[in-house]
Amino acid sequence: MNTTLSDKITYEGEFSEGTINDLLKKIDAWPSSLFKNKADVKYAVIELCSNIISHHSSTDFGSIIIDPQHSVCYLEVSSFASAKDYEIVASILNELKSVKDLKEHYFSKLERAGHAESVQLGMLKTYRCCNGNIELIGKTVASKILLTFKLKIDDCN
Amino acid sequence: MIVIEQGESTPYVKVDPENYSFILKGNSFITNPHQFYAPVNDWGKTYIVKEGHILHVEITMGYYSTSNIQYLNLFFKTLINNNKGKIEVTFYLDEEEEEDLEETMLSLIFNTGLSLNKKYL
Repeated sequence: MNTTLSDKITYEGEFSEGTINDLLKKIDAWPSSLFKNKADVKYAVIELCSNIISHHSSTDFGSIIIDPQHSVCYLEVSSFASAKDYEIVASILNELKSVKDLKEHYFSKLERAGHAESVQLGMLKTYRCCNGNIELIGKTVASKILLTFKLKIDDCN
Repeated sequence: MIVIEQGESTPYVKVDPENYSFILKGNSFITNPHQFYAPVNDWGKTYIVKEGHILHVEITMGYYSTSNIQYLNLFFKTLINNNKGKIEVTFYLDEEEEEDLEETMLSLIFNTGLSLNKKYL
């Protein structure tokens, strides 16, 4: 099935919880014949957009593109961050590559209640949603880093 | 009694200790769960179920962010630990969403000693 303009979701501007809610409703509205694995897309959207609002961003400004294709959904989320936050996120993603049992790792992190674990849990959930098909790009703009996550989420059968 | 209406990123919450009922319904992905759940947390830290009674926790599932799961798991651990054998948690969900929501349900009651009790809507 070809993607139509109405299936592709884009947003640029201030992010809030209302923005996430609107995005989830739009994903829910996709016909299941287009993309069945809406849950993983929704979880990734929740985690990455929550990051823009609360965790790493210096502002709540960002952009998102959610593009469901046949058997795969491309997700791109960008926002500004400090160099330090970029390093933290890159380090978390790098560590996840060597984790053998991601589910066990998730529950071990859940045991700990600190802020660092909260950030790690969010990235871990995102990483699992796309089976590790995630690319982090950091581009310097003035004194900030434009942080972009590019995910490829497979559909289920 | 604590009642919080459902918001864009927060569930409907009803804590009714007199009737031994605690209800959560909907999504929970608020970026500051500490603030949102503060009244519920304050209640749960000291609440003791009277002998011979069971507090029924009913959670109608939605989508939860990991930070909200982490916060609520800690809350439930405290509540259940303070009231051993006197808390019953039931999850309500659409059968077709079971696979998508299973891990969230397990996470909410992780290490509480409770097993997963679910009913379909």
